[in-house]
Order: sequence, then C-alpha cells, then structure tokens
Amino acid sequence: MFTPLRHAAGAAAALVMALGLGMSASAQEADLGPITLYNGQHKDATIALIEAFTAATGVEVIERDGASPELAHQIVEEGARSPADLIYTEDASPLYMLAGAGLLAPIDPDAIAAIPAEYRDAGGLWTGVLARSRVVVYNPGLIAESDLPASIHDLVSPEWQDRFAFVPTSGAFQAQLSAMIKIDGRDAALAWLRGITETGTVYGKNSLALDAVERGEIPFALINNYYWDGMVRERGIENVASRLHFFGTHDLGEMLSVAGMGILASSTHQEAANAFIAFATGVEGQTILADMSNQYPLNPEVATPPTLKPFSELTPPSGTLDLGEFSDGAAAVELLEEAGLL
Amino acid sequence: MTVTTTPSTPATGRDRQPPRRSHGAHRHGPVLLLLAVAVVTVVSVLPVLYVVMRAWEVGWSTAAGLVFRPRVWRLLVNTLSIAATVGVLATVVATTGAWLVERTDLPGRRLWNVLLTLPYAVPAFVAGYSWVSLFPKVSGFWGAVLVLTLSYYPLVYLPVAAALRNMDPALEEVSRSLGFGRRRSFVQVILPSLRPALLGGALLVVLHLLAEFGTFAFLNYATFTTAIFDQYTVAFNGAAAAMLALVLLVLCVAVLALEMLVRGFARYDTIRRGGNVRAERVRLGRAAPFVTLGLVAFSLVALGVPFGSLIYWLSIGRSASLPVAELLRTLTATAGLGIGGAVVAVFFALMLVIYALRYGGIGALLADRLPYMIHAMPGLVVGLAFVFFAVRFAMPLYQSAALLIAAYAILFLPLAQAPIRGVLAQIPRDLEEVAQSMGRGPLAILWRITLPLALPGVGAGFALVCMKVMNELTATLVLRPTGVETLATMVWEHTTNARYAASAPYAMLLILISGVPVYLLTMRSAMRGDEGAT
Amino acid sequence: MTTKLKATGLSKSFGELRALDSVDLHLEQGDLLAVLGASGCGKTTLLRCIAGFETPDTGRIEIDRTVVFDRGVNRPAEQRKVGYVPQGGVLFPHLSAARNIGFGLKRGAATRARVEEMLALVGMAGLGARMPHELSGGQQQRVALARALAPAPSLVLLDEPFSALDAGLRVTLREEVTAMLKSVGASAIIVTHDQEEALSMADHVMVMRDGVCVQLDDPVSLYRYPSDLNVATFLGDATLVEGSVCNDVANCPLGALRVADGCPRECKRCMIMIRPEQITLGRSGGGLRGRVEKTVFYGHDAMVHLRLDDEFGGMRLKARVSSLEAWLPDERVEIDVTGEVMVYDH
Repeated sequence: MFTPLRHAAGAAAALVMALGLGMSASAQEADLGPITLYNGQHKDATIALIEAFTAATGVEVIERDGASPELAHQIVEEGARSPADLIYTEDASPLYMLAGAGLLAPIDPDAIAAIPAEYRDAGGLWTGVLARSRVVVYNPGLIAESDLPASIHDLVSPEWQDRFAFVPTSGAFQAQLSAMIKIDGRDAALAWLRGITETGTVYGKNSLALDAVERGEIPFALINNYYWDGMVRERGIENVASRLHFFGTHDLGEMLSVAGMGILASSTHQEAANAFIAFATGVEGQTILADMSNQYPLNPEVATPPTLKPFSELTPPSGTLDLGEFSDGAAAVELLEEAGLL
Repeated sequence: MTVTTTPSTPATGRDRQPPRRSHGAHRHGPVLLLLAVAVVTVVSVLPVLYVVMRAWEVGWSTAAGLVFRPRVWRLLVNTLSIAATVGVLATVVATTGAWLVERTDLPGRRLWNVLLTLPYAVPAFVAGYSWVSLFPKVSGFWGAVLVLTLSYYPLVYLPVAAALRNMDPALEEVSRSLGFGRRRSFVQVILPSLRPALLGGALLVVLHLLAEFGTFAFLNYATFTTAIFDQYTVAFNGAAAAMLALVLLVLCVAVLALEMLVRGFARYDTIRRGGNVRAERVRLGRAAPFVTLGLVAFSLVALGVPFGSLIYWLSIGRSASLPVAELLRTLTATAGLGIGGAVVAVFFALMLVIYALRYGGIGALLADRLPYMIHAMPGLVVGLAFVFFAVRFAMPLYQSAALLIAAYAILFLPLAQAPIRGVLAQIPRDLEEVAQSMGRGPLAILWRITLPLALPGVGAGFALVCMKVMNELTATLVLRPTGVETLATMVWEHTTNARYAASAPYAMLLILISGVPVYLLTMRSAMRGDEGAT
Repeated sequence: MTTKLKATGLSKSFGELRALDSVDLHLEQGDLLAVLGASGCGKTTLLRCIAGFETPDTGRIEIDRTVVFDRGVNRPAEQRKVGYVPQGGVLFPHLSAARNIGFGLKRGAATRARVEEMLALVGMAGLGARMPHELSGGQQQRVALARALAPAPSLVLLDEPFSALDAGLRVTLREEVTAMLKSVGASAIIVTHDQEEALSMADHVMVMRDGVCVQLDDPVSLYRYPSDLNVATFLGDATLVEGSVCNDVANCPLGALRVADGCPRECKRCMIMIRPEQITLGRSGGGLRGRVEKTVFYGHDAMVHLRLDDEFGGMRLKARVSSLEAWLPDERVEIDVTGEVMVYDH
C-alpha cells in the first residue's frame, strides 16, 4: 500500500526549506541532533516516520515508547533535565498539561504552517498531527443503522436504557464532555452525564466496549473510529460484525480529537525538533502516519487513507476544535467526579 | 583366630536449650550489614517521601475535599472488600492445593506442584484481558475476585506447601493418637502450625491487590489504585494522585499492623526432627479420580483461559507473525532484567532479614516492614518517584538498566523477604556462634554458614522476584533504558494497537520463561527427596 | 494376665524395601516391651503400624482383643486409643505445656485437675504455662510423655524417646519413665537403638534386623543367650574365639568351656562367644596367664584389655572388672573364664 520513500525527493526539498526558514537562518551549521522523541502514539507508524525523516535529513531520532499520560507525567518529574526533545501524544490533554506547566517551547510557525490553525494550540505550544472522529459503533444484528439515535443528547432517554456502552475514563470522551460544557453549559452537561450514567453501561476501555458490540452483547457504543479500524485491519472486514455510524449532523457525537506534538522547553535541539515537526506535518510525514495508523491527516494536501470515510465527508460539530477555557479538561474531570465516574 | 568387638555406641544427643538473645559484642551488627540495611531503607523511603511531597502541593483544604468525598469512601470499601475476599479465597484454594499435593497420594503430584504454581507467571494484564475477551460476563467485584484469586493464590500456595513438607508428621500423629480424626487434627494442629506461612502469603496477596491496576481496569472495578491512575491519566492531576496514594499508604500500614497483631509475637519453631519418618499419605482411594478431575478443571480455568485466549488471538488475527530474532532479543533482555532484579532483591532481603532476626529492635522491625509498604504502591507512583530522584541526584543513572533493576528490587523486595525469613528463622543461632568462636568474621559466617543454610529460602525468593520482574509493565515503561523492549512491553505495545495476534507469541513466551523459575522452585523441593518412594 | 496387644504376620514394604517381614508380637497387660535394632531395621515402622499411622500390607493387629487391623479392617489411629510419644517429643508449638497435656482430654472440670496431676507426675508442677520453645529438651520430653499418658491409654508407644537427650538426663529419665508407666499400670512399647536402654527398661526385648524379629526374650536371657552372633555383638561387648565343640564342651585357646543349652553339641569349627563379665582376673591361680595392655575406666566399672601370653595363643581379651580394682598396664594377670559360653556354627 505504502512505499516509504515514494515522496523522498519532494519531502527532502520541503525540509530543506523548513530548515532554511526561521531561526535556523542565523545558525552557522544545521542542528543534527540527535533528538529524543517520547512517543505515545502508534509505534510502527512513528518508527516509519522517523526512518523517513532521518533518511531525508541525516538527523538521528531516538524513540522512547510509553503511554501518553505516563510520558507526560514523566516529563513533569524530569523537569529541566528531561532527555526528551519532543513528545507525541494520543490526545491533546497531556499536551495541555505540559503547556500549562510551562514545559513546552513555542513551535516555529513555519514548521506547522501546513496544519490548519483550528487544529493547533492557540499559543503555538503544540500542534495537532492526526485526527480521529468520535463515532457510534453498532452491531447490525441488534439494531438497524436507521434506528440509531439522532444525537448523543438523546441517550438520556429511557428508550436507550441498557442499549449502549461508553468509556468515561477515555481521553476522547472527556474532550467530548468538555465540548458539551462549552456549548450547552455546565448544568446541562452534568445532567446529560448523570443521565447516560443511568441509561448506559460503563466500560473501562474503548477496546472492551468495541468487543462487547462486536460480540452482540450490547447494540452500540460511543468510541473512536480507529479502534474499529484497527479491528478490521487485524481480522479483515469480512470477519467483523460491527459497523461504524457517523451522525452526519454536526452532532457532538462526531467530534474530532487530535493526536499532537510539542517541543520541550528544556530541549537543546530546538532546530532539529522543529524540523521533525515540519516533516511530520508535511505531505510525506502525514502520508506515512495516516496510512499506517488509520487516522485522518490534518494536512489538507494529504488524502485520507482509502479504508477510512473521507475526511472531507466528516461532519464534525462546529466550535469544538478550540474549547477555550475548557480545553484543559479540568471542568470535564470535575463533572466526572461529581457524577461519581472518577 | 579371634575377634574382639565393641557394641555400637548410642548416638550422642543434644539437649536443646531455650533460645536466648545475645547481648554480646555484635549487638548492632557488622558494618556491612548496617550499610546494606541503610541503603535499602533510604531507597525505600524515597517513594514515600515523593508521595508526601507531591501530596503536600495539594494544600490542606483541597486535600480534605479530595479525600473526604463519597467516591473515596466507595473506593475504600471496594478496595478493602476485594482485598479481604481474595485474601481469604486465595488462602483456602492454596491450602487445599498444598494439602492435596503434600499430604495425599494424589497421582502426578510433581506435575501438579508445577501446574499449581504456574498461574502466578501469567501477567495480570494478560489474565484480565483473556477473561474479559472469552467471558465478558466476568467483570465487576466477583469477576475481579475470580481472576485475581486465580492469579495470586500461588503466593500462599508456595509457603504453605513448603511448611507442610517441612512439618514434623508426628504433630498430626500425636493428635490422632489422642483421639482426634484427620479433620479435627487438621483444624487444631496443622492449621495453627501453618499460621506463619498462611499469614505471610495472605499478606503478600493483599498488598499485591492494593497495587493491582491492569486486571481491575479490564474487569471494570474501581479501587484506590485505579483511581490513582485515573487521576494521572484522565485528570492529569499528579498531586491528587499522590494524595490518594498517601491514603493507600495509610491503608497499607493498617494492613501490616493487622497482620502483626494476628501473627502475634510468638515464636513457632517446629524444627524437623532427626527421625526420617515420612508421614503416610492420605489415601484418596475412590475419590482420587474426582480430585484429579477437580484439579484438571481448576488448572483449565487458571491456565487454560489465558492460554486459550492467546491461541484464539493467534487464530483470528492477521498480525500473527513469528519474528524470531526480535523474540530472542526481547527474551534475553527480559531474562537479564529478571535475573538482575532478583539477585539485587535477594541480597538486600537477606540483609534485612538477618538484621531483623539477629539484631532485633524497633529500627530493624521498621526497616524490615518498609518494603512491604512500597510493595502496595502502584508501579507508576514508584516509577515516577524514581524519575524524580534520579534526575535530580543521579542523572547518569537515569534510564539505565541499573536504575530499573534497583526499582524492581525495591518494588518486589517482600517477595524475597518472606521465604528467606521462613528459612532463617529456623536456623539455630548457635551455629553462627560456633563459627564465631572459631574466629570467623561476620562476612565469612554469612558466606559459609548462613547463606548455604538459607539457600532454600533464597532460591524461592529469587524465583518469585524473577517472575514478577519479568511481568512488570508500568515501572518498566517509565524507567527502562530507551529502546529496550521486554516481553511485557511488547505484549502491551501490540495489544494497545489491537494487534492481538502479534502479541500472542510474546505473551506465551513470557508465561513459559516464567515457568523456568517455577520449575526450579518445584524441582528443588523434589530433589530433597520429599516425593520419596511413591 | 490378659493379652494387651497381639500382632501376627505383619508385613510392610516401601517399594523394594521390605520394612516388616511377617513380624509377630505379643504383649501382656502391664508389660514394657522394647523393640531394639539398628536404624532402618523396621522397628519404627512396626510401631507406626500398631499406632495406625502406617498401613501394613498384610497381617493382623488386636488391641484389647479388638481387631484394629486385618483384611478388610483398618481402624484409624484416632480410634485405637493408643498413647504415642514421637521421636523428640514434638509438642504442639502453638500450645502451652498445660494445653499440650490437656489436648487429648475431654473439656470439663476434671481436665484441669488431670493436667495438674500429670504435670506433677512428670515433675513439672508449676511449669504448665510455659510454651514449648521455653522448655529444655528433657522438659519437652516429659511434657510429651504426660500428654500421651493424660487420657489414660492402656497402651503407650514411645519412639526413641530419649535419643535427643544427653547421657545423664537419658539415664535419669529412663528410670523415671519406667516408674511412671508402672505406676499407672500402662502397657508400653518402646522403640530404641540403644541396647542399654532396652535392657534396663523393658520386661521383654525384641531384637529386629532387616524387618524380621530375630529374637524376643527377657533382658537377662537375651544378653546371656543371644540367638546369633549378630545379636550377641549388637547387645554388648563380646570376645569371639574360634574353636570346636565335642560332647557339650567347647575347646579353644582359652581351654575347655561349658556350652550353654541350645547350642550345637558337636561342631568341628565354630565361634565361641564370651562376655567380658565371664572373664575373671586374679594375681594368682588362674588357668591362663597374660599381661594388661590398658584399662578403660567407666566410673561404675572398668574394662581391662589383655593380651594372653604366647603359650596360650597370644590373643586379646576384654574383661569387665569392678572399678574399685586397679589394673595397671604391663601388670601380669592370671585369667579364668566362668559360666557357660555360647557357641555358633561358623
């Protein structure tokens, strides 16, 4: 499907440009790292990205894997002496925490120019790299697609009692809740949360909720698209019973969430780190990442992987990319605690 | 020709004197011993210090608001009820199994000894996911009770089986000659004598449960530790997490105090007597096929479910592959870390136990118990504490194998302390005094007398720590040298990306490699000839 | 006299090892029987079969005329009402001395009195509150005996009860235990590898070897008339001389000696066994002459090692003498052999 160095020549050119721009202009020689990346995202895709980057620039990248939140806490404890130059996380929330703690350095605007502004931190401290969509996964054997609720707001109705699953401890659910607080207000969001706590079934992990739907134990669940895409990749679509449903109505249930990258303030290789982000958000990097991890590229020039519903056909809710004061998720966590879910 | 003979002389007996505590020259122990105890104490204090420090940042009013709320109360009830239930059930299961293997004529006892120990080698996160994926109904309180009892009962089984093996059969025989049947003899004589082994094992189970995360996350059951993880990963509130960890520490102190209270301060030294009499095994007779069937069913549940789901993953997954070189590399790294962690843990455990047993005092008691508290802390908290201190005071060691091994040793020290204590407590002090009277220094005594005699306990401790290190995930992810993969991290890596089939070879290899220490552990007891002419 | 215990044809194998081979045993009410043998001879297995801790392969055991083991019958240990004192005593480590003793008693008002009585009997009044690890080896042994005797069993089995004790304590306790058993009228079997213990305590001694009962007799007969050479040397010092027997008279370098009843009456080449007590020493008038090599002093008696003069064959002998007599090395002695001697086919 994908040959790693297909766009090598073009990418190298783009990179030389990126390196030539901005702060590196005054440097006597290019910063060749090596740089260390704390990676909380799909490992194989990240490694492919690194290989292509190193091939194009000669900059060596040391990759360290972990779970995104743990990596972020590790960076907090490491403080000014962190060995990391970059962090790449599953969700935006770890990046918000690091930004809030003053541990991220501003990214060179030119390095992330390819990513639309709504997918970046307003302060320029991190950028989105890939996006996933909140979706409904349903089992056609238990419920017809046409019978699914029109909006996640409807789920509090007794009609859906014990017919759906949700994962309140997942980062994406929390982001969804933050968006709801922003749009509907805190009280309405709390009422909704309490409502679905009554009607829905709580699962501890997205993969478990998906499994339950797949096995026909529950008609549908609120998850992220890539869990289902991953299952299809592992088993083949002919062996997968469940299907995805997009509301198609700019409903909150179709909200986008982003995986993002940031540069550590303590990094002594800002230039090489910026070059890496430029590469990751460039055409070649985005193609590698999107193809290998079944996520949506945020660079508009890059096509959606063929297995996914085209990015352009998605109908995410408006006003939910920048959550403003609710973007750090603190209000959502508060609601989760109030509803007794955390 | 003539021969003059003498009769065979009677064996010279030795009259055992009541034990006495030395007030001699080495009252405080040799310098090396003190140094080792000091090192391990300082390092064990670090995570506690870290938690207190981070919790302090919360501020009193926020802390009070965080701790005194209904959810924390519910977590407390959840945590205590599951710890108590699993503790009791694991004890019952383990004692039954140990009795069957050590005291009856059950066929294939050597095999059962291995099979009954092996579930401990299945990483909890593999067991948890296996159960949920094969039997989705297994969840919540009773689901967690089932899965965790099956994972942790070997921690009771091993010491109880050893105690039964070493117990003088005459204890039960005397009771029976006094008119008590097997059942009442078991309750009135055997069980009380097993008390130290039972309590020691149950304590480890309870502490494991306090720190358990993976299984609870899969089985959808909230405890203090899952709440701590939620604070880290959902709320991104490290201080609140530390606050909850502090509550967990208080809970742990209460558990330790309770155990000491129940254990009492009595000395039970049933030293096995000279007579090489073997107890006649209880004949199962017609019950034998049923008992065997029961054990087969039990093992199918305890081992078959994890293995079964691994095979299921392999059969349905497209990511299935056998990257031999990668497997070997990971295996080598895992074994190296396992052995390294076990060696360090056993060394310090030996020092702590010798210090506590031979030099006594409240300080020694605290030093001995401190690692048990660390044992009950989530691996992530201990890992982050190590990050914090290493970056500030030992930067060259940060993300090195040495630091990771030190963390393993601190995390799993009690697993080595318990069996070593069991053996050392039975070694008469006189032996060391004899060596001392022959002009041997403390080091020589340790090396030539104490260590060889403590070898069975050292071996058991080594095996337990080694197994657990190879299974460890959370602290490994935080502290490992960049680029180093263990079998556990590979399983985690693949399962988080839904590549279940790809994870299966690593998971199986992990269980099988953990079987090596189990095998050595059980072979050692077999070599002592306890299986006998059966 | 009533029969307390009767065992017939007891056999028991452990794999290839034949621990008991058709052993018969008979014990009268109030008797103390010692089972004597080297370690591994099967004596402990015999005891454990009687107690019910071991199941014989074949045979029959009756206690108080009740069959407790036979084909199709196997009463469990707890129903045999047999007191048992294992090797080393083995007290319940979690119970005090008093509660150890009271373990087999029915709970009730009488229990306490009985425990006190037993403590007094074994000379440990006032020490009932002690835990086992606070007692010395001898004390532990006494408590173990008291525990076995407390429910007043009519048969008590003792397995090497004194082997872990030092010599002085062993002798004292031996006498005390015999007296205690006799005072409560208990029948008892004591298993031991110590011939002195067996001979001094028991009414009857059974010698075992390789799972077989070699000889069962009263101590005096056993010592004086051992059934074979092995028993003879196992039971005590002996001088063995080669010789021949003709018409009840043994001829050997020590002269013509009277042969005991039951020995071969005619024999060309045989072994003649003489106990050191049979050899008397004098300063004049003996039939044989020799020289003292050394004297080993034991307190209650002494053993003189002699060498006969060359004209009497030059062989070495041992003679037990009163410790009051003094025999110095190189002293010349006159030697006599008294009493009947045992003769065995060579």
